[in-house]
Amino acid sequence: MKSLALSQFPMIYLSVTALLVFFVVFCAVLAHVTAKSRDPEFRSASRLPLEEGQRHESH
Amino acid sequence: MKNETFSYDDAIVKKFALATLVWGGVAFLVGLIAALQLADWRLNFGVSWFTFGRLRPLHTNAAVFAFAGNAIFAGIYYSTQRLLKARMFSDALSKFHFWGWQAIIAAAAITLPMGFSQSKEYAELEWPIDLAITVVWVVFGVNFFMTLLRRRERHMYVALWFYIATILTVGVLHVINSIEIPVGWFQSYPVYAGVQDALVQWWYGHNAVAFFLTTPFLGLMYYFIPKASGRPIYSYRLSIVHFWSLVFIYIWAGPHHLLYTALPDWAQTLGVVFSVMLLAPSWGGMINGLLTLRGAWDRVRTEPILKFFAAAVTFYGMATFEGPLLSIKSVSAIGHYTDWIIAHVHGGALGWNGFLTFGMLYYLVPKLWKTELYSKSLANTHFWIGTVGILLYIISMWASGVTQGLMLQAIDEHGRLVYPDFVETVLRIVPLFWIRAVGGSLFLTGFLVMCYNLWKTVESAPADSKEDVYSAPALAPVPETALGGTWHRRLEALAPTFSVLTLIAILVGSVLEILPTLLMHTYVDSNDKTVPYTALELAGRDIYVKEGCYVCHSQMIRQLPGDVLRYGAASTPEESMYDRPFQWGSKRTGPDLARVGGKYPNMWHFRHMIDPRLVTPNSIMPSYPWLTEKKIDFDGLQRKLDVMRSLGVPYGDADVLYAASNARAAAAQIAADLGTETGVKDLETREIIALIAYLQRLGVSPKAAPATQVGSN
Repeated sequence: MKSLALSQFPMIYLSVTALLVFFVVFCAVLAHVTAKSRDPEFRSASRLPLEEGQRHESH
Repeated sequence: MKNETFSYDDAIVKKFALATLVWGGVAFLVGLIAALQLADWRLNFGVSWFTFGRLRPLHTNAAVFAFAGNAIFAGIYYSTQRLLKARMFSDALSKFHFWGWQAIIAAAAITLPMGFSQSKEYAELEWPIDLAITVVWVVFGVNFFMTLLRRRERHMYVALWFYIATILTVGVLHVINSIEIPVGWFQSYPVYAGVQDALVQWWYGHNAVAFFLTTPFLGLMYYFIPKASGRPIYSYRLSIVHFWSLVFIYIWAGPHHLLYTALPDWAQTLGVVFSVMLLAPSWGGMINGLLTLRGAWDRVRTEPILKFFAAAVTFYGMATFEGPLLSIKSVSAIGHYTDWIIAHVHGGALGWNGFLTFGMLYYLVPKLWKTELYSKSLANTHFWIGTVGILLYIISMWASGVTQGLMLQAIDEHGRLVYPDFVETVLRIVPLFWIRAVGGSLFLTGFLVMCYNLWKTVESAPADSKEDVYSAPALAPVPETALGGTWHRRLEALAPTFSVLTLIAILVGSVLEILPTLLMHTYVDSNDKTVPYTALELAGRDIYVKEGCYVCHSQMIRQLPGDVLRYGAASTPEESMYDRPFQWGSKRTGPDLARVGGKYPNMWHFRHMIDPRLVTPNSIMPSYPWLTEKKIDFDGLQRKLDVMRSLGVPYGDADVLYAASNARAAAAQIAADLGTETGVKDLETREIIALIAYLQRLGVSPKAAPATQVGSN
């Protein structure tokens, strides 16, 4: 029944537009992250969980 | 830059970790009881608050919000402070968050068995608790975002992105889905009705799974797997793609709701494509998690923490493969309303959420209490008991779902149902309910082994455990241009901007999914011939909601041959246009009730509620003897009709003013009918009469408007 109601929704172009927007953004992000030159920054970012700040003492 | 010294608030992490264990035990135990009640109806014991319809919402709420919720908070408080090299913004807000959340859970544990429920799955809690959830969630958000602003680490690690998405999206989902008008201290009616209510609820329900059980756990995965394995995440590149595609797609992966409609085939296919697309980011995350263990697989063999993490991520992969699979039309036709969905949900809940939490607790407790884990051997035992338990659970439910789904849709060469008796399809799967219960028992046993192990671990901790002091350079404010790196690297350093972009990503999907709902009045005809419920029927409907009938009975006949042959013409939107809340259900342990009105005499319903076996031999439905003892709240009906009228239901002044007397008169008629046949007297004020009135109305369109005045109030 939910489907029956939604099937009458006339603005199908919204879904198609969103799909296109998603693909454009997705491709842009993909192009950005696959560049070899970004290796050093990704490497340092991925090590963040392994640092906690320098431990001094307990009190 | 001069170094600053600081410490982490681990006391709050300890509190949430302990609460995870306590509420986990409750959630799993209640789940096991509910599983046993399905296997043997006598385990309902004829006690109202212990009946399956009331325990099942308690189980789901305890599992999602109490167990998983506390686990999320423990993990977020621990990892956020360390990733930002900063103590939480306010210890007081952290404590308020903790005690507020526990109070909410305690209120749920009391009110749900009492039958105070909105009947909207994962959103059953009544309006005072909804308000409390909003306040506590905002406090949590303020504490988190203020910590982000006061951090000492410029760049926000990927785990934090997932936490940001969780906090923002859950807030949006909860507020929009919980807009309701109170009719008493423990009852309310949603502002949405029928199809609209269903759409909003399942927008919430779908995304509650996404943003309460998926994104925060992905954040925990991105933090704890590298910590436990001592290795950085496999691909930071992949994590960027994973995050943005997941938050963008997940929130509007609802097009699979368009299946089996008059929508053009190309559009239906597009809907399926969207759902299947979700597989890509989901598996991107899974692969990233598993490959982080690359080079450490030898330790997975011996380290129970890594075992739990590896299995959790594998179960995540299984569940996120199954989800898109179930959105395919031909698969959905069989799986929907059956135990296949239960298997799918528990593969995620027990395997992904459960095992990730267990791995995290085995990692956290020794760290927090500065000691060693009491027994690796016990932890390994827990892992194997739990794994076998989960496999027994999901395999039995897969078998049950496919069996019942095929039986319910089976049609012979003459176009007749092969299994016209619904109860026949239930009896076939009862043995599988027992196997499920065995699986659940094993999972609970493993959990108890973990509790013992962690208790012994804490016992061995040094008595005078001191708070560690750390140091890191303060974070000086710098202009964006001076941050260096690429645009995403700069974005990661700008917490407010990043959060706003995340909000936009989830709102794009939300608006696109919710727009059809808000505009429904422009494209769905409102049938002015549909007559609202009478006062007595409305009272009966509230009892139907209170007893949790929706957890086993649907009220929506799909446009499938098997559904139409069994239950009658497919349901239409107009039929539920006054239903607040909607009662379509999501599981058919019993038959659909959309057109049950007039199918049986009042006497049949009376005997059925007293003992279902009297009219349906071998039925597994619980008995409801208290319905003949509890009295209808006639005095509250005027207020209820008044609220309904304020929400747009076309009640006249007399309908509202004389609601109680009209209901008493209608109840007297049904009671007289029953009295003639059974000799049972004095039923006219009892709840069973109202429930029968409601059931007899389902699928029936009265020719006349509801009665107005039959007497003085």
